[in-house]
Amino acid sequence: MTSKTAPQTLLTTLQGVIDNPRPVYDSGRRIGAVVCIIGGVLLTLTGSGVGFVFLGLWLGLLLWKPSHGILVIYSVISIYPVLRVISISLRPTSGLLSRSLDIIPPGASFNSFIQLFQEEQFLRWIWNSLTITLTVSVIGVVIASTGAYAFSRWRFPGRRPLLIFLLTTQMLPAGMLLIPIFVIVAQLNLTNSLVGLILAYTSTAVPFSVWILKGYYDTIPPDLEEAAMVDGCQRMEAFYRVILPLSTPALSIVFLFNFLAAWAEFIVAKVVLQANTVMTWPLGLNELIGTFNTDWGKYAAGSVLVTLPVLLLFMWQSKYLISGLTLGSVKG
Amino acid sequence: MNRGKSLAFLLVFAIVLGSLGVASAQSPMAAVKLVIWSQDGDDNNVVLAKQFEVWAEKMAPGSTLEVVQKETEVLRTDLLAAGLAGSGLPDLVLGPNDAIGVFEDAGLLQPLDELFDIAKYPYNIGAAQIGGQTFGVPTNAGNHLMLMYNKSLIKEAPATWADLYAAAKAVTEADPKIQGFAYNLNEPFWFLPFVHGFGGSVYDADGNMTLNSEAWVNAYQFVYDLKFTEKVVPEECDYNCANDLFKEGSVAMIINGDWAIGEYLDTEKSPALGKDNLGLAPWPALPSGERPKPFTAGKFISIPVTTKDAQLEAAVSFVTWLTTDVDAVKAFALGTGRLPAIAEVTVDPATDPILSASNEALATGVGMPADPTLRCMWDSVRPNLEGVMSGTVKPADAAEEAQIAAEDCLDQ
Amino acid sequence: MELSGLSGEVILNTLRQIGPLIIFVIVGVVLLEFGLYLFFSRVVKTKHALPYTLLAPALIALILFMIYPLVFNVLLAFSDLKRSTFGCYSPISTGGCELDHLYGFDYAIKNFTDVFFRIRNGEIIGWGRLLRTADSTFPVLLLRSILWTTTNVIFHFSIGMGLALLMNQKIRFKGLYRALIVIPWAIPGVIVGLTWRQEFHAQYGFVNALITALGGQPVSWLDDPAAAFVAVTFVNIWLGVPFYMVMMLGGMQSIPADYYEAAEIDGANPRQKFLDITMPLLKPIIIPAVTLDVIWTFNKLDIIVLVTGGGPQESTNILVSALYNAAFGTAATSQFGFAAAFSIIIFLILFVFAIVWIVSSGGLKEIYER
Repeated sequence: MTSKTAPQTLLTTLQGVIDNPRPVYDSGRRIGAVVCIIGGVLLTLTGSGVGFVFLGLWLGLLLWKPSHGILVIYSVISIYPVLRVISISLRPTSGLLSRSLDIIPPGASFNSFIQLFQEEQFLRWIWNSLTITLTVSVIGVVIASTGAYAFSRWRFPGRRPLLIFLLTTQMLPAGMLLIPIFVIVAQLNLTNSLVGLILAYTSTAVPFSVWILKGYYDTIPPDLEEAAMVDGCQRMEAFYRVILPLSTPALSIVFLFNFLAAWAEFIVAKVVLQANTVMTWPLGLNELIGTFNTDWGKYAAGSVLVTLPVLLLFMWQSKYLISGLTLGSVKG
Repeated sequence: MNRGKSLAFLLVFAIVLGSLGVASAQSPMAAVKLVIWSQDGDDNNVVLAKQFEVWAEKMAPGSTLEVVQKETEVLRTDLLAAGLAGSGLPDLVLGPNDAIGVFEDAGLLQPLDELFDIAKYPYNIGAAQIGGQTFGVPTNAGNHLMLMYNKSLIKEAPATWADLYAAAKAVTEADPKIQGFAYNLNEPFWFLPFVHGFGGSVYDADGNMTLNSEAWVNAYQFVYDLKFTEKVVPEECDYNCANDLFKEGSVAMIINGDWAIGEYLDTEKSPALGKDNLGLAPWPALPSGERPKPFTAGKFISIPVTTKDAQLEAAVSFVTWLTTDVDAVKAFALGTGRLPAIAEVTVDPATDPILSASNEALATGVGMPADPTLRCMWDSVRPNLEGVMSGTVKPADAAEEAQIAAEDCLDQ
Repeated sequence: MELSGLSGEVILNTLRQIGPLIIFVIVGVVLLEFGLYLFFSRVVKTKHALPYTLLAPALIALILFMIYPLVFNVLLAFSDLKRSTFGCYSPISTGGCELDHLYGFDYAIKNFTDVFFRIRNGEIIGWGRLLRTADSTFPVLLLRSILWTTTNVIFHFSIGMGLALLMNQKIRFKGLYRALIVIPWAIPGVIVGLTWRQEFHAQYGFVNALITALGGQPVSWLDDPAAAFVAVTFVNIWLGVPFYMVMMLGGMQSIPADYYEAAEIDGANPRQKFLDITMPLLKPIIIPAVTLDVIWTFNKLDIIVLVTGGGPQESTNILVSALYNAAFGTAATSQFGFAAAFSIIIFLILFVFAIVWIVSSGGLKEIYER
């Protein structure tokens, strides 16, 4: 019974604060916050769960400093599913299906991680994904760097239709290339090889890379090469000596985005790859929750291991990534 | 001196090589690498791989078998796509018999009448025969759904659905954390037995697909009541959910197929079950006294048209041994909790009560046709069954809609 | 030694597969550029020799990996490829073939009309069914695609913009908030999809656990059509907000503070500052971001496939996921010819939209200007 009446009590307590004309001074909000916190603590003491303390604390914060209140709740929404996955990965093997909302489960253990390494070919999946994505990224950068330069610096016949075509490729429905690419890869007898998927990913990596790099080259003043050419450099020499070094940020962004796109790709890999030996990690993790067995523990452990590096990279370098993305897809 | 040494080394090397050659010449077959796509569960695939090693040691040392697990739908699309491309087909395919119809229709399977002694499989070979030709040999009989219960929670298997509801409610009353009953509500394979129980079938007397007869409507109504009136099943529970709950003892009764028995007998994988706690029984009777009748067939091994020469020879030898050698059948059928498909191996109720209970449930079933049009039934019933089970589609409408969808499908 | 499926042999084997490919591409690109440059400058003698040369590798990759598959797709739309005619198109099938020709306009006409109309005995009797239910028709799926796209884009934009505005003040913990809020963006889509599907489970997911803890009634998220659509839309909104937040924040930070100071002197209120300074100056970022988002969302396939698979009752499909399900999904009869025609129609819709939108909004016009 308490659980049903508890939120109502809380709401009525709050109603008083909210219904009052909005306090002009911070002290008014502080009073509201204190009331909320006391209400939350009281509710917990009467047995309605820790959740309400947090709820109370948050409502207090919302009234006291609305900006922080909203940002905190959105941060929680962003991060909570991640915490859940970590939590599932730490659960002891039994009771994977559980209604518990605890972040650190009772009897937490690393069993799932150990099982993941012992019973599944986890490292091989990672290795396969890694080689495929690195190769696609390298090929994408190599092929796109000069092509984008041509688009950026010269006005040649056919330029505009080609650019429009590049843009159009971004609008292709995923299913449109899926059937033909599968048939082509299979005809080349590459369904049991990493090369098949590399070719399939290259098809989307190249237009994207050209597009971003062209956007970046556009921001480099042509005077720079001209100055180099005055110094006796050939045009291509100027490109390699001046433009490419200057474009390191953009090149690494292109590399990184190609990498991230291929790293987590699922649909094409599912259709194109057949042999177990070339399975990438998205396929492997999907298999873990396949028809006949649900290894949520192992799945969660694998997800944590795969996500953490990317996550850390993002949080550490988010400013850099953002400037890169703004450069490419926005100024495009 | 140096030269002398290397000569001596070469000589030894040649002798070793030669003796190896002799050794391999004694075995009847050269080593091969086979690939099998299997729709079987992971645990059963492990047994399959082990059986291959046993065979390879005797018949073709050094041979390897790559077992690629593919769930039903993936197996179907991947095989068709590989066939379209003209390459990438496996050497062997292990799956339920309804897949055979689809692949045969696409011209991707070899007829096996010349390659195997078909008379060896008396029980269910018909489920793999189309137009007088055989396209698969059974690794086991069965593949049938039955009632499975946890003996520590349910003393005696319910004989009727009324009993089942009462037992399920009693379990939850005793311990609210334990669900009485669960099964894969939205999957037509679990629904068809009810249709049969109400006297319906997929094809009418003239062989036309009929999915809107009164029996179908009654069956939809029955499963609707099961969920919404009796409320004995979890609100949302697919195969994995029911399976996991049963294994950890959080649900007392489920309906599942014989393929899962092996896993349920393994207490490491199923802490709440094992041979002492797992009980098997035929489906409980409907109010009319009739029992729902599960489809029966078994798992079959087929050989794609691209398997040739040494690969074919090894594949046929392996499959013949796997499906007819008494020890091999005991290991791969009985060992994974399934019923044998050959007459030489029988189930003894005294020594193997579980399998004989499974056998008893098998007797209540109806044979599954190998007709490729069966696919249209599954695909047409699924969304409508989902509709009934979410309470958004009325049973009568579901039956009508399924019929229209099936006619569309047959037309394509 | 083998650890978790990885051994020295496996690594060597992979390098043997990949190594030659990389070398082939790099050496190929260099040789090709030299050869083509000589060809263009000496033989053809065009003044655009250098750009064409530089473009060649990308162009060849495009032709091989993009144009060839697209042409192939169009060819498929002119075929009658489906399960029952498999024998005709498969090089290895031993099934009989009852077609007298493999490709033709008659097939194309049938494939394209089947997308829209349900034809029995030469009469149109309703909308064509793309999957197995009466609701899986073209207009329903198109409307749902539009609903899906607009809902997503509106929420992405407004939440992203709101968060960016909050963070563009002098506020403590800004770095921490930003790091936490971009997290959904950094998580691989497969994990997002599979995890959320589990979390929307009526009994074991945290969403219902949270709702019950707060005193609400549990919802069967994946069994109820409307709830499933809400669930899958929610996941995609969750996934897309960081992109906007980051874009808008980046844009806002590049707006010089003087503008606001000057406006304050003129007595502008926060609302006026937002409408008269922030919005116009952000326009060059907003328009391309929205354009991209509309296209991405309209084509967003993986989240729907992973979270609901298009179900229950095929009710959460949008056009692209219906296409995927028609070709590769559970209710498919492997009608590749029809699926190819369907994919071309989806593309045309998006293309027309993009043209209209780009022309009317002036977004992405830089291709014309530069």
